[in-house]
Amino acid sequence: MYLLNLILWWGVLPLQAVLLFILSRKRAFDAFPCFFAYTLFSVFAGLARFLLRGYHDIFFWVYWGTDAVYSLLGVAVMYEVFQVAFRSFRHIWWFRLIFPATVIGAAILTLVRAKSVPAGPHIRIVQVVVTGEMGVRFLQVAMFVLLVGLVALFGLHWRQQAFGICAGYGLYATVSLLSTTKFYEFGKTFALMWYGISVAAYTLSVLIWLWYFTGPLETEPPRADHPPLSAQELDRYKEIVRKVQRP
Amino acid sequence: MMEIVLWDLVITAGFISCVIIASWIWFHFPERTVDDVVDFLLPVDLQKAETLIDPHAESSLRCELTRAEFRRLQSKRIHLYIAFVGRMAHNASVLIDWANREVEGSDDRAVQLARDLQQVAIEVRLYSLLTLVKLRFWQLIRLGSWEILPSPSLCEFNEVGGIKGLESYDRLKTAASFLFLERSQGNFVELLQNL
Repeated sequence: MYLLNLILWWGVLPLQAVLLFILSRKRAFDAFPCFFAYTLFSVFAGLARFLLRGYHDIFFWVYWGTDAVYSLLGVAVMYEVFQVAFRSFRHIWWFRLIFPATVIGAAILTLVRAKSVPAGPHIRIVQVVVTGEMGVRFLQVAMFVLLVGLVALFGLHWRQQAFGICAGYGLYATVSLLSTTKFYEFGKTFALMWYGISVAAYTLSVLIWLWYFTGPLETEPPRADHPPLSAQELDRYKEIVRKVQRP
Repeated sequence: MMEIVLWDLVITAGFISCVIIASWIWFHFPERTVDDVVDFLLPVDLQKAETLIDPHAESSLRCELTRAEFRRLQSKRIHLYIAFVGRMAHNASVLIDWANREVEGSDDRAVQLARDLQQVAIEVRLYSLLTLVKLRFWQLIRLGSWEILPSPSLCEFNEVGGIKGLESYDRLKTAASFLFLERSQGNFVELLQNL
């Protein structure tokens, strides 16, 4: 039973270490610096939590302190994903407003929701961290929904790593939001079960990231100074077009 | 109360998105290559489409015809424009699929051309979908039949959401042709006829 618990709570740590190794080997820090920082941090934070799990007082501060950093990095990663996944839309001015609007919407809804739920963690700093974390989860789900919509409507490339990062976060954030809501509704009765489901969802997210990053890293090559086609080729193209008759 | 509904809506949307993406991956056209493009395209007559949204052509029709006649004709013109825009949306979708596959290749020139195609195809798809939503809404509320209002005008579809639709479609044809010439010389004429 102890071993099973150990695997459930800490099994994701070696997976994240493998992910960090793959990201480093593929130099993913050039294309996704925030996601790389997030993975690096999660390995060290996980390690610190694991080593300090027996010291309750220190563990409390380490746990909530690292949780706050996770949230900040979560927002940064979402911004990074937005920049990469939406690059085909960047010349459309109103698309650039989507990210800030989603962040503001998530913040407002989370604050209103947090105020309407009286029961919750009693220490002020924990309340702040939990509220912030819920806001980030909300943002991650919103971005995931948006990206899935773009895949379905515009055929956005679902195999690109930016989508994989967002899908991993989206899945975990959805389950996490549900478990937090259910925790508020049912109290501590199902706390262990909901926590277990959250951990399983996070493990699945790390597996999704691993799958996406085992393939070749997709980066946007720098634009050449000259267009990909020469003037002669363009002339040849125009000549062919002129010859084509509509049926 | 409102925030609880919104909250639950977001969670539900998250789960639905997981299902959508899983079914998209499952049912999606597998690995569209240059050979799987031409046969899937639907021809769009850009000249006719241009005439439909040309303000001069529309105003002369308004002047020449009676109010009732123009209303009937405009309804048919709207149907025709919907058909053209539907084909544009379909073609853009096929070309995005193909470009997605080409950007994974190793030929730098083809990758750059595929990225250009991706960009302009997404632009066309966005224009087409926004236009279709608006036109279908007009049809839903039967805007053309409201006697107190003037007949709806197609001229406003020159530009939707900051995108000049037909201009973008023309660029799409060029971008698709360039990539096609790079990857295959086979049925280029057919590609131009079908786009």
